Amino acid sequence: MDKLLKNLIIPLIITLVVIILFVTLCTLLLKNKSEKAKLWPVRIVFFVLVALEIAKIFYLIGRDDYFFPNRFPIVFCSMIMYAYPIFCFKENRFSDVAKGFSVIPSILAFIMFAAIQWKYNMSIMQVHSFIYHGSMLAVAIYLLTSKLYKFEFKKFYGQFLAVGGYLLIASTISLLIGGPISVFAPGDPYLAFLYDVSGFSVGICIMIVAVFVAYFAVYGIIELCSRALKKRREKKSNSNKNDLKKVQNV
Amino acid sequence: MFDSLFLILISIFVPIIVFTGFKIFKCSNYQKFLNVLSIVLLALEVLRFFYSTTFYTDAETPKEDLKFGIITILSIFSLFATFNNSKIKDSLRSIFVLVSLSPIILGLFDPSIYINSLDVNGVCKAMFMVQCGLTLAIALFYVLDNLKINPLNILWSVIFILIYVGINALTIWYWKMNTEFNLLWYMSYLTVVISIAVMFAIYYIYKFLTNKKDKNKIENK
Repeated sequence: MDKLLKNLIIPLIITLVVIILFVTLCTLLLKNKSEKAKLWPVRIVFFVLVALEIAKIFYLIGRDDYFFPNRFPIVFCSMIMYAYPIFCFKENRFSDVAKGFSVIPSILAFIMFAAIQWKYNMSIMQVHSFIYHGSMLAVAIYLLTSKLYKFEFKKFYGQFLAVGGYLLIASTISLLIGGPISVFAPGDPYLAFLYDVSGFSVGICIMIVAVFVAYFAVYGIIELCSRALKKRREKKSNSNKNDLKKVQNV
Repeated sequence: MFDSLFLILISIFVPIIVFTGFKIFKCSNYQKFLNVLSIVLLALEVLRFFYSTTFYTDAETPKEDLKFGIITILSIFSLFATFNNSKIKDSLRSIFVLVSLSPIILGLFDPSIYINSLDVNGVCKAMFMVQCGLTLAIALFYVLDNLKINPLNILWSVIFILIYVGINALTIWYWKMNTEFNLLWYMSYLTVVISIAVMFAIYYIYKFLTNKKDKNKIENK
């Protein structure tokens, strides 16, 4: 219990409080500003992530006297860092896909990280991880609260292609350089069972299928909920109008 | 067991993913889409062949990879069916649709046709599974592209399979003399023949339902 408290609960509470503060402040302060201005916090977080990534590489080389191939920044948690510059500096046709790419994978990365965090004693690397994943989660929530990204069912396919493409490219690179990416490797804490059962390539195909199903389900459920809410609002406004008419007639 | 499960899963999901993309991006030209799919299927086949043969650099006869695979035949067949504009186009497409389940069935009966023990990362295995799915996707798009399948095409499809079985039997006898009687081998091809009838039934139900829908629309108007 003590381990759980020290390694997970206390740092997690601190991280969540900082995230809530960051999101609330940024959303309220930039509420009536242009979209360009609203993207400033994302730009700052992007540079922070790059700095953290570089710092991690140098720290690990210094600590281990060797650069392991799996420390190339192509792991699942690093991929969001590559999506930010696509939308936070200049608008282009892939901006919306990149924004979506920074929402669900960020949330998933934070949950995956928090799920095994209790095993490791707090160290400088753990603090680094909390800051890194917390920043990603903060941006993901900020994109939603500031209405920079809206969930629409049609967008799910673009998201699926982006994440599926990433999985394929990152896993191919990892196979070529010989280092496991943190999503799919024999000793992986999350998906080792799939690796053992399916092997490398078939496992990638299964993961792509799973990404398709997951995105379809998430975007589909959100679309259904938003439609139901819209209908309710319309019903309410219609009943209000009818009441007004009745009052006027009386 | 897991290989069979993954083969079925990937084969089902590839056409679903392709079809969803087709609908989401509001494509309307089936022919262009079919051209792309057929070329992708062939490209995967070529890649799979070369990737597979790299494992046998020292072998005298890489017989396991030069085997006359059904997916190889279907990859070439889809090119003829897609790019052909003559009268036999519909017949070729009908045969392709009716036999499109065969690679999955043959794979389920005999996984050795796509599993290579030297392929540690299972790249060829994954490619085969994706190819099975692509075959189904191409068949689906042939049907959507106003294909009319006659009951006579069942006969052509059975003949197609029988020719393939004959060639396969010859290659097995050529490389493996005194092969033991293998009931599964006969059963697999019997199932393929049954699947032809199943595919025709699915096609017939699909046509029946779409005709009913069209009639209802006309009556409503």
